[in-house]
Amino acid sequence: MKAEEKQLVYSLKSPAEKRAAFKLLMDQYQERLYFAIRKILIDHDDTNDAIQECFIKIWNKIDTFNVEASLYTWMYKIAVNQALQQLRKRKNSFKNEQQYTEFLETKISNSTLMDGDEIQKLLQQAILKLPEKQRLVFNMKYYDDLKYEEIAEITDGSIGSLKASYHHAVKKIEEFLKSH
Amino acid sequence: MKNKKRHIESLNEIEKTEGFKTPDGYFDQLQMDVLNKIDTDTTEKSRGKTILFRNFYAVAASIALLAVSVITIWYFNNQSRSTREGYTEILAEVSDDEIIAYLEYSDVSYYEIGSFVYDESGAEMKEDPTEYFEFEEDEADALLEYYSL
Repeated sequence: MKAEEKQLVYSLKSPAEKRAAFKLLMDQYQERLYFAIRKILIDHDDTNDAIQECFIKIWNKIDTFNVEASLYTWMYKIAVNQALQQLRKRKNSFKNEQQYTEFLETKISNSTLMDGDEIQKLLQQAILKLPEKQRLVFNMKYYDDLKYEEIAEITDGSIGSLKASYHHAVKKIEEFLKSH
Repeated sequence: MKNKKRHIESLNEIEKTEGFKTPDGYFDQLQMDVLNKIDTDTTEKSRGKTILFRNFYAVAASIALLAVSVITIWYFNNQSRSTREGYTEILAEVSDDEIIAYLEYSDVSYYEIGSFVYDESGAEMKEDPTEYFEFEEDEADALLEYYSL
């Protein structure tokens, strides 16, 4: 952990400095965590709910954070767990999983909060077709450039199976892109 | 631009962007919303603590009042018991002769004395209270003579 990040963590653990340090933490990480969640939930409103809960959890749990660990990996794990929790909640609000998938496909195609680039939309449609684990691993590796060790820590998976998941994900996405 | 190409063979041909957008000023608003929630939660928690603290004082006051009451009752009970015990002890220090001397000059009759004497069951007074005095006949005569009775 860098000295600056360590200092930030110490400030977050100090009651007198916590609020100011938390503002600084949000400045540095909110966009990365938002997009990590958004890639899972697709919908902005759902992402907004999840990211707010994620930061509240970070605020409440920061005292338990080990100073020697990676702050970003720790927060990323909270963000992914929160996103998955929100995903289950949203799935249950639909009649079945197919309806929820259709809702997400519509969001990708029509939302004004999507990049207008057709290829980007197509790529998101391809990712949406992946099984949940492959989708998570692909997003972490491809977009967020996390190391397999970090992904293993976040997902509690083995590096071997994560590499296999990413490989399968890339293959399926390229097949989808070729056929569309 | 490579992203305008419709048929993609490989991921490497796609420019890596987030693909998602947020409403204008969203992140400033997000920060405000989160900090407001945290401030509200903190205020509610401290208010909860104050209420608990007030309850704590109410409970503590009740316990203190109860303790004072118990101690007071115990103290007075004990004191009256010790007062009663005190009378018995003082009386025990008075010799029989002194008691007889006192009774000689008082207007207390045998029967009145006997009225304070009960049998072991504590039920009835015997008709002749002198039966309670365990004197031999010659001792009794000597006493009567001594006290000129």
